[in-house]
Amino acid sequence: MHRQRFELGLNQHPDKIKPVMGYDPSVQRTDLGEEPKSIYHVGGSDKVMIKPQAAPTTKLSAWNEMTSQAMYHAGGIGHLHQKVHATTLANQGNKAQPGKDPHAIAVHMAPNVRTVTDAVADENDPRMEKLAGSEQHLQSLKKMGVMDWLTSNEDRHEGNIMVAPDGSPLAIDHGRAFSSDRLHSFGIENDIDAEIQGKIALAQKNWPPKHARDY
Amino acid sequence: MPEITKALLGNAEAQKQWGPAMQKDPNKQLEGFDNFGGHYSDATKIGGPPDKETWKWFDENKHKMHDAYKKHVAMLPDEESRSRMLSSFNTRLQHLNQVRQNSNNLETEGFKEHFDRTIPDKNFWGSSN
Repeated sequence: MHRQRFELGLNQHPDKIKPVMGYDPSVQRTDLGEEPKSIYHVGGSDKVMIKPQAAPTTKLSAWNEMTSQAMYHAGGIGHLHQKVHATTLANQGNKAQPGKDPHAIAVHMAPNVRTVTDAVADENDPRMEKLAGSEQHLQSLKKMGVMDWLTSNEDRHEGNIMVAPDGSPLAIDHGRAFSSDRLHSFGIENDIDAEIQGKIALAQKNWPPKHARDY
Repeated sequence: MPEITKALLGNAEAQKQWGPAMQKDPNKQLEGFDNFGGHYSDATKIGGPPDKETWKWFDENKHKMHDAYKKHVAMLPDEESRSRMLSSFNTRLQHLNQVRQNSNNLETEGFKEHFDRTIPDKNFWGSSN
């Protein structure tokens, strides 16, 4: 019963994000690390990253992303959070199987942004100076820092802060948010349950998916 | 950044060490939680500690953010896990409220000094900043 509520909650999340349709069939597989990821080009320029719902070290990866985003929006700072939405992977012969397809998260990759790490390393890029010279942008980072506290996000390093050309910051990758809560609730997260292991294995076996079904 | 925090970032072995200590005890939080140490969040390291405007925003929105969290926790399948998730979050929210209250009791410069002491590499922007 509760599992069903969880799935419905993810699928019908009220976040007002425009569904992404029409994935380009040419898929770039990117990170072969601890979880499968693919980047899709949408509409010729926009990029969407698709990740399964759970990473081996974070069983609630997609839930963390969606919950974090909901809190940012509730706090009136949704513009500081890279947009994500829940989806499922229709990887069984390109035929959607409602209720059976693995859940995934679609990450709308913001255009023209760079990580703090990259921007600092590039002496010809003025965006960090613009950030440092703007009280508004620095205030955004202060709020982001409070959110990292509040959401127990242990992963806010310089590679997870993007900076737009105008110097405005953007928080990305909240897959490890609520780390304290999860540890208190589930213990050592590497011991993920068999159901999630199975979904990850299925996603990896059929990766990249034929398409993602959006809501 | 303390070695233990470095290890926490993606180090499964460190999680195994921390996991048992933190499990079932919401009062145990990650390294850096007791103050706005810059090593906890690079957003704080770069942007600085919360100021009056930040706390004003926090006061105005914390209940709405708490409600959003509760709404999403309600989607989780296991009742005991939901209870622990909420308990841990509430502990952290109370702690944050306490930090916010303490900041009221400090002169701005005093809080800044406190912050400066907690962040060895506070001069992220160089000596001119």
